[in-house]
Amino acid sequence: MNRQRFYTFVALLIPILALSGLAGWKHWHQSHGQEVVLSVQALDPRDLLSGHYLTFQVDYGLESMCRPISSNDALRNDALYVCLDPKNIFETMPQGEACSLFIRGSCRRGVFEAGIERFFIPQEYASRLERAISNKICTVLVSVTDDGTATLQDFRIEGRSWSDYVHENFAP
Amino acid sequence: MKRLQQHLQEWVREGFILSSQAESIAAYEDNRPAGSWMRTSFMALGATVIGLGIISLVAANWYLISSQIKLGGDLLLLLALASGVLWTGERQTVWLREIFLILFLLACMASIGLIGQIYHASGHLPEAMLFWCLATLSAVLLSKESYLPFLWTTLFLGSLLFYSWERMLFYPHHSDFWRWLGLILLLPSFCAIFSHLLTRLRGPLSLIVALKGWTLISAGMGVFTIDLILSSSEQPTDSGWLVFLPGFIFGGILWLGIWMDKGIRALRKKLLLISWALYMISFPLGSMFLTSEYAGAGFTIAIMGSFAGAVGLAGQRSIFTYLILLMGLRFLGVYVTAVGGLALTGVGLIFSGLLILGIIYLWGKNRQKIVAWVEGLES
Repeated sequence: MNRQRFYTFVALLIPILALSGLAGWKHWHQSHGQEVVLSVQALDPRDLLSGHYLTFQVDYGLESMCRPISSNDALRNDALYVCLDPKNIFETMPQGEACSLFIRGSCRRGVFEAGIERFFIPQEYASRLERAISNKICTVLVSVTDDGTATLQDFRIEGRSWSDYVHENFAP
Repeated sequence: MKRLQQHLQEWVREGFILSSQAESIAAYEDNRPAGSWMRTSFMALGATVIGLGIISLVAANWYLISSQIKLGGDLLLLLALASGVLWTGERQTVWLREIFLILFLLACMASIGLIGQIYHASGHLPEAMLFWCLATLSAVLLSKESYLPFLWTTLFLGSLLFYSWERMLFYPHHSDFWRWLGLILLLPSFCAIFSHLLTRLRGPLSLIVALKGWTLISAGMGVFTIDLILSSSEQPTDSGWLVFLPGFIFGGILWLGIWMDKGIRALRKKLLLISWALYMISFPLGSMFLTSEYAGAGFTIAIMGSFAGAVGLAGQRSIFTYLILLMGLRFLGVYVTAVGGLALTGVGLIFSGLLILGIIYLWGKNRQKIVAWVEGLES
């Protein structure tokens, strides 16, 4: 292999490795965490790269999570740790017995985001699902790793997986 | 081709070349393939459309196919396109290699979308684009055309801008109005300094050209913004001069860099320094102190005029022509606003047109003297 061909090979390999690493990292977080079910409220916008999704606010059972101490604090993006057991909020990563399970995120424009506020669905079901879930109890199945990284596993409508709900309620 | 025929006939008539030579040149040009820039443009367009099709297919969300198969198929597609780049590179088919490269990079973008879709990532578009830019930089540098580096630079600067905007990294306590002004003041000098550093480090020419292009585009956006603020009746109520600080630091470094550059001839350097200084002071003056709508036009015409002079002296005719055209349009805008009535506007325009024609006539008659005078100023 001559030098020019080797450089071309490496230059093309770098993006493939970066993408494989990203997929691997996401997969590890999804499959190595503790499973938690959280309730949500949903809406439906669309992503340019990945298609349609349901977006929602997760209910952590805590009040005023991003309450600003001063007006400037509403704009802060500092990390925040939401403890699920017992329910509490920490500004630094909880250690030891202070919290047995926590989710890491940050407040963006006054709303807590942990990277689990979006669930991708096929375009054909987007509007029907949005209508269907507006008056139903919805939850998300989330995988949470020890460092507080949360990854979505499933979106549930009245306890059933969204795909089962679609098959049972929507004609093909 | 028609223009070449006219030139050849003229050169034969003037006795510069023989008619047999003119025929040989015409035959040679006739047999050449169509212009490569045209082929490159259509090639880039076709490959981009296919790439967008791939992204759209991924976005359609084939949820009945398992994640592993989708990711495996995506990896195979990337490997096939990368092999295409390697294979066409060996066979020296530059245009085909470029098509494979565009498809490979857009397939990388689709892969990010697919991963986001499978793992329900809530990241925002600028973050995905920044990841794409960083992951694909090495592959972009393989391009031998200008399209991909320009696309990459555009997406990189755009996603950087939107990322810092969304994350409130740039002056979070100021209003959107002041944050935009601060960013648009900063962007041209950031691009210019970055392109200069790449030139010094003998970096890839395609990226340097793309950054120079964005220096001009962003400066144009800045001039337009200030002109718009001054032309509108509404002035900002809050004060945010601190947002100009990064722009002034980078802009000051650029101004000193131009001043100390011994490779720029004297008159051109003066014009560049005047143009850049006017651009920088137009931001605080235009947003905080001046209220006259004519001040906006004044800044626009003065900045563009001095810059047009500098690029004209450097022999960059196309940029010079566009700047003159824009100045003319802005001048016309001022004239219509100032005079108001149609009759007076008509008289004024006729007078202005005659003035321009007179200047061109004098330029044609005394061109040698003027050029000698300019060269005298430059030495």
